[in-house]
Amino acid sequence: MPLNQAQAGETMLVIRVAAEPKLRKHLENLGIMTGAELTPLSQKDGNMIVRVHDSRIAINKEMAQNIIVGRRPSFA
Amino acid sequence: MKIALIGNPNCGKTTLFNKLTGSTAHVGNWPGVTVEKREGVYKTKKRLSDDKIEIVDLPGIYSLSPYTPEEVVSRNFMIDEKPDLVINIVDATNLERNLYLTTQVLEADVPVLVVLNMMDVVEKSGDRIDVTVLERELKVPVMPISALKGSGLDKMMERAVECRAPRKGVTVVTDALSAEVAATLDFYNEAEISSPLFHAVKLLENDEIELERKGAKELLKKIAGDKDLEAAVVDERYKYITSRLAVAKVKGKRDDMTKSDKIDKVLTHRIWALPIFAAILFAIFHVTFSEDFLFIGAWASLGEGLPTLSDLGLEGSMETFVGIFYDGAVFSPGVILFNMFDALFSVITEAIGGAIEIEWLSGLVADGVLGGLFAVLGFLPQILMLFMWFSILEDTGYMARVAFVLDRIFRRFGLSGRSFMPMIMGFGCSVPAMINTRTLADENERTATVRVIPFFSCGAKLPILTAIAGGICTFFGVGNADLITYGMYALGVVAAIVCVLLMRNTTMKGEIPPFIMELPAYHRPPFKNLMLHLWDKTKHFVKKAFTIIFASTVVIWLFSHLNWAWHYLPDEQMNDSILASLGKFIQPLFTPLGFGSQVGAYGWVFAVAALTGLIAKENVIATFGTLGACLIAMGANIGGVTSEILIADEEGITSAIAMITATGIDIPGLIAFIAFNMLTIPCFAACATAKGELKKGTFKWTLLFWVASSYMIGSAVYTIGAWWWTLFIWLAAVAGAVTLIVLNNKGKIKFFKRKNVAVKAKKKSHCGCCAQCGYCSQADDQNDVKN
Repeated sequence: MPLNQAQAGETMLVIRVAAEPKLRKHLENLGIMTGAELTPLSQKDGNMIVRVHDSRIAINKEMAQNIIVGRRPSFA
Repeated sequence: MKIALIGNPNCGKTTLFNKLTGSTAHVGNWPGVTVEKREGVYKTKKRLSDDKIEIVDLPGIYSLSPYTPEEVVSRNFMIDEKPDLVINIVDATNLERNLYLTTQVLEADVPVLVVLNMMDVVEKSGDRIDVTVLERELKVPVMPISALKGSGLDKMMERAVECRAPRKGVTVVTDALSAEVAATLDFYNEAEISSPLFHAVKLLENDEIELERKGAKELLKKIAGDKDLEAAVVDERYKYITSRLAVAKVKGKRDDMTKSDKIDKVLTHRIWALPIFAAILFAIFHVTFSEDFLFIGAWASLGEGLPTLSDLGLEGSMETFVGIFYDGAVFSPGVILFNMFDALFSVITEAIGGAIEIEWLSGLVADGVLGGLFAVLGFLPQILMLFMWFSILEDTGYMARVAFVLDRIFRRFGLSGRSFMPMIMGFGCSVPAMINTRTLADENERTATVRVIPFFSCGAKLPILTAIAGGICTFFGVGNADLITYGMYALGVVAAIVCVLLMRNTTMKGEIPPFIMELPAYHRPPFKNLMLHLWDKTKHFVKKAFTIIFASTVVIWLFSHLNWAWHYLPDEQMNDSILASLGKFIQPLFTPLGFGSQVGAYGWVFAVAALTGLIAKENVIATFGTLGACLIAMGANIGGVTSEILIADEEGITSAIAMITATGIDIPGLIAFIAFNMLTIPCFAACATAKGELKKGTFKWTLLFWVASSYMIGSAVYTIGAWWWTLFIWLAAVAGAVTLIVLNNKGKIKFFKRKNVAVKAKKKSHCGCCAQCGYCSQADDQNDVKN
């Protein structure tokens, strides 16, 4: 699902990031890339704050819609 | 010995730089404060090395592949200028992300010292970091410090001077990619450039700068085939970090929600975020400008009301003293400080003016120089106070949140929330604000932002606003000075919004770049840092006052008291002076704005004041002070301006009143005068900065833009204020312009032919990150195959 539909507080796994190369690289530098874990913290009009590693990153709505996330495989 | 500081944005590079060199460079709690490299010399009691140790502070970067213009500076410095040592500052509270840059820094052939900053915060949160593990894995020295507290710095520098032995770059990108790295490494070895390993890995990462090298593109294509090497390299780096480095950090027990997250729950709340920001802004302006603090006077007037100053029946110095704090309402702290300064200045002026016996000299010193200087200096407390509040908001980390909260609204005007940071800096001074636009990724967004930054009324324009607003209230007895001041600030913001909207739909079109910004942890603003900010601002202001403004006032006074035959004229004959005839010459230009030919014999003073403002905006009020003092000296001749009608001896406001009395200008004309000065071409310094920051060839258009927008808005303010029905004419004109632009953009009519084609052509390839056109998903499919 797109990142902006994820529940706040639930840690998600990034499945893919749809962005042009330069932007994708910028996101990678911030730790947002396929396989990374991120936790949505809050939303405001579709703009989001997510936790990646130990940092808080603000992302606008259009960008968040293009980050596809999924639930982490459960080990239970 | 040259040491470069490199690290992620907001990891404390500049704080460390200030501590090491004793500088007072601007520090803020948001990513992207530093946009230029800065050099200083290490100050120490102990002699560590034979030569002096130079320290270079670089803009923060997340990786050595730059995303925004200012990041290029850091990469180029490290690779091309070859410092003797690179200190890589790592924010220990966010170890993994920060080490991502470290893995890249280590690929260059340069000695590296890794410094773990903010160790005090780490320890406080109960985490532990094993430095020896990091040292063993990274194979370079690692030092724990706290730049803010200043702990560990001496040891760090001792270690730094020992790290001068040449070092060969090493990479963590090995396992799966060693063949590819070897191939590109050969390519760079043959080219015989320094740090071949760094370039080799960067090329695999699809780095834009590397691809420009001759033959690089072809080589990469050959090696990569259909593999996504870029993703593979990133993967290798993070894998290495998580498996080998991150283990050095042992996390203590703690809540899931940090303190910052809890504060964010309130300050970025989906409903309350905006009202909270509005309330904070109002509170700031209220405390700085209000003559009715906490509305005590207004509340009281619901009942019997508070007595005015003259009702109290105080006498002499007691009245002056009480007048500093109170007149029918309690003044806000900003106004009280302002009044204190003014009371002091008027004592000095009178003493000096009285002591000099020669008429012209007394006039030059008391009216010309002191009148002008004090009119400006009196506003220093309010300028500083406004600046202080914004500094506090910046230091806490709140401003970064506001950028986030405002992003959605900014998008409607064609900007991203990122441009909020330079704009809010504009309230302090346009110069650093314009430089900070380097953090904006889109060139056209950047140009539009630079152009409207002067509309965010800077500290130097504050005296114009307050003095004239005060003059209007005192003289005409209408309105509320606070409201006029807030209103003018708001007018600037609205003008900025309208102009940005206009530009982004016509000449400065472009995609709005996505908003991606790291939000720093909240912290209490460091007191010392705040004081340094204020001290810097004071120094700058006082220096300007005693150089540019001082010189300007002398020149203004001389030209207003000399005729073309270079004979001295007493105050009464000011209208025959050189300045007057020059002023009268350009005066008709301002007729549509209400301070041109229609204002009386002394009306040229407004034209002159506006012109002197082009050098420095403080000059507008300094000119008022100089000429106003002469008008007051003439006293009864021009309609009874005496200092008695003035409640507190507020220099700037006094001069404004003198000008109003002498010219008979009306309220709309005065408001238009403020609007014009606020929106027109900024001071010399800001113009020079804009010229440097803008793309070649755009500066002349920018000047034209400033003249046109200030002239149009000024005349709109005047005509609507004087004849309300002209509002409809203006509205019709705006509606017409909007229709034309919309029609043009829809392709029904053609104005900007070339631009239109360019936009269309761009759409055909791909535009950004919408995933609608298929471009991005292609790129992603490759990604998926890899994974």
